[in-house]
Amino acid sequence: MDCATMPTTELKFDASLLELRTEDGWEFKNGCWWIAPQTLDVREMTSFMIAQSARFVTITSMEREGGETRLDFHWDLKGTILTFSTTTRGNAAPSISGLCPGADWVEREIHEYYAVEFTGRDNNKPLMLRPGLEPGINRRKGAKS
Amino acid sequence: MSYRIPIGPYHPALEEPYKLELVCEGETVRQAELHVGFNFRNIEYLAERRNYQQVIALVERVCGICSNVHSMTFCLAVESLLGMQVPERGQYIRVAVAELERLHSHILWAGIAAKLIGFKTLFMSCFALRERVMDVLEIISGNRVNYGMNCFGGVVRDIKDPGHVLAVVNEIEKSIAGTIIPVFTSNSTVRTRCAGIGVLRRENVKAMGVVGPLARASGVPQDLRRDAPYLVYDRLQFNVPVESDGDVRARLMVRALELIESCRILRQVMADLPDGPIAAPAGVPRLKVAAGTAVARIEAPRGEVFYSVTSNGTDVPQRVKIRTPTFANMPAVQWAVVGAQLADAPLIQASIDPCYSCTDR
Repeated sequence: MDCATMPTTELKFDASLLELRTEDGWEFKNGCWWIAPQTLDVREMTSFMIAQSARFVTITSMEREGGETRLDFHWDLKGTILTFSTTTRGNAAPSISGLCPGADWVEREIHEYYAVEFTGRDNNKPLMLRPGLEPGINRRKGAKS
Repeated sequence: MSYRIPIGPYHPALEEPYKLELVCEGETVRQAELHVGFNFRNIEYLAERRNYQQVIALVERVCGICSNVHSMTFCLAVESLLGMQVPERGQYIRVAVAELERLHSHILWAGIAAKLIGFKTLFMSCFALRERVMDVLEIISGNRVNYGMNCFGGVVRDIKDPGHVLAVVNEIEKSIAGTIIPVFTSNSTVRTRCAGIGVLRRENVKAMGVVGPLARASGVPQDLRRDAPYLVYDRLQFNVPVESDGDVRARLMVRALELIESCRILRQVMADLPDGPIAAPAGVPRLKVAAGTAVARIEAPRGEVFYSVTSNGTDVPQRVKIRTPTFANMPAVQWAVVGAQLADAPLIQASIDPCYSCTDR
């Protein structure tokens, strides 16, 4: 799903959000429930999903125009895959790894591929790249945004 | 006084490059740090520069053990974007290859674990048995590593003699039930080396998003074949083995019991294999895929494999995201080895059944 085609909504993180209603902005497409709110507090989302006993799956990152990066946060809730989609601002986003340790490697990898700065991280050691290499190797122009 | 021991990237236990840096006090591991990326190929980047047909072959090279898993998951995602239905016979054959792949992956791991335990006879028994599985895969696909079975809309080769596959599966199951499982469950050497070693607690599993047999050995009963069925798994009868101890022995038990369940699934697949085509009618050689994003995931031998494929309407994917199970599982080794004896560290990390080819992509 392309975020540009999705409804924009403000999210309220309460139990009713997981009723997956289309009027709340959810859409089921291509094997997954998607939501792309106008603004997304990723840390609030993470706390909420953990409280619901959802399992963190991964974050898909994708280059956007203007040096930004789309971030799709995927969660498994009792066998159903839910995706919260958002876009970085200034190619930065708050880190969720303090709340969800499973996101640590994921954020480090995205930083290396797309030069996204995850704010509030303790550990920024390289994961796949050797020390000293510039992050952002998968951006089309090959440069840090 | 503490001291550091670097293990790897050339590793004494596994023939894959990674580095585990241990901080020890005496013989006890107090801290561990994992370094990966030695096998980094940036396959996700390469996939964005090849057409969809070429990417099937590319992603099959993510892993040399569960190669089929990757091409199958990628095909499932693209088929979702295309709105393409796989014929029933094609779905059954995909399940058969996936379960044979699970068999050979688990038996391979059991052999390596036996070698690390110091039980070389069992290592040789496991590898002899694995050869029988590889023979079946070769009969079906013509290949022993990258099977090349998947195409958009189904599979490229039929199972021409299900009876032969069934006979070999029965023979394999007999060996597993008669030799492998009894040794792993009752032998005192195995028990001494594995029980209570490398414990990974349920809460750590949940925090790290650990998947597959590693999670099931710590009491987390997740298996996509049952929880989010794909292909024809919802028609098949099988159990999801779960152990609660979270130690090396529990991981051994879960994988050993899963071998039996895979044989059970294969017997049903061979018995129920429907007539009909093995793939949807052939598409254009360089197909264009409707714009959008699709996700697909399957239960690989090591746990959930996740693909997100984004199309911009051309014949080349805009984005192919691959999350492999070892990428989710391996950080947990840093918790599993803390408090363990240094001599147990190689076995503990091997018990996670890591695949660095998958992790590094």
